[in-house]
Amino acid sequence: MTKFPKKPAKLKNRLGLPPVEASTTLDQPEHAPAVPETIVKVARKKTGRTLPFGTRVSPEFMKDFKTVAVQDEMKHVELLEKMLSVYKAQR
Amino acid sequence: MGYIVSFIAQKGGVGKSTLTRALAREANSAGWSVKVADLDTQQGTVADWHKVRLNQGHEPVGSVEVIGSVAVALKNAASYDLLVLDAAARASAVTADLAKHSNLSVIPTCASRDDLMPAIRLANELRKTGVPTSKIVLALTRVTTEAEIREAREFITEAGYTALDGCLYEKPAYRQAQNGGLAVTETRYKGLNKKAEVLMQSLVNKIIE
Repeated sequence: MTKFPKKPAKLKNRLGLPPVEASTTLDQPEHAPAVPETIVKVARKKTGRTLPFGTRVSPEFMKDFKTVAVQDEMKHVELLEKMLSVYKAQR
Repeated sequence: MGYIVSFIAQKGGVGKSTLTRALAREANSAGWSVKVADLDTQQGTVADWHKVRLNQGHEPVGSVEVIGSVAVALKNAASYDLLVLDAAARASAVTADLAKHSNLSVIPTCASRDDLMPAIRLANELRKTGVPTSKIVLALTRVTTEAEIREAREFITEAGYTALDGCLYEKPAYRQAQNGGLAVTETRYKGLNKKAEVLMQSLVNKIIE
């Protein structure tokens, strides 16, 4: 009977099979895109109207005020400025 | 025109900078003029290490610079025998650019499946973008046992890539050497230096192939 050496040990590979797919990173920018800057509303420095102005008025006043502004094609702020200048002239 | 070698990976901590340092040191001590471009502008690992090296009074490994773009890094490549590019710890358009301009792209990987899978996927993607397989090699790092090394090599070969001969073992002495500005071929232990040199020699043979 032919003498055979000891059976060669079967070497297992516990890592499994390598991936066949490719990563999808090479079209990515080097640095992650930065968070877009929040848009800060800049006050209109050109007109000099830089401060907020708010007050509560009655519904009737508001209706009249808006109607006049529309009729005379004025901005609310323009009407307000006009009103003040008229008041100052007449007081 | 000199050789251009890039160390790339999708992951951090796999040994890009370690191998960059060792290759630069070996080339420099062989009389080559070496430029190292540290492309990780946020961490600058190699640049920091080189500062330590110089402060400790060791020989420089060449001209080491933190560089923000591949174009700038390649600008003076012709003036050096070897340009070593150490990429950031992620794969991006820059990685593809590096690989295209390099004579050899080295993807260091540890022997775990968690490290091997992304390394092979990156190699696959590089191949898809037109980088020839012959210009991509994998280097095994932080290995511990022969069985682990064998399995990792088989995995890499099965995927169709070359794993460099030799590997970098997980040894505190390598870390200690690097902490003091030395390369993995300059530890206090001859045996460990020899092992690292096998990997470096295999890399050099592949570069000049």
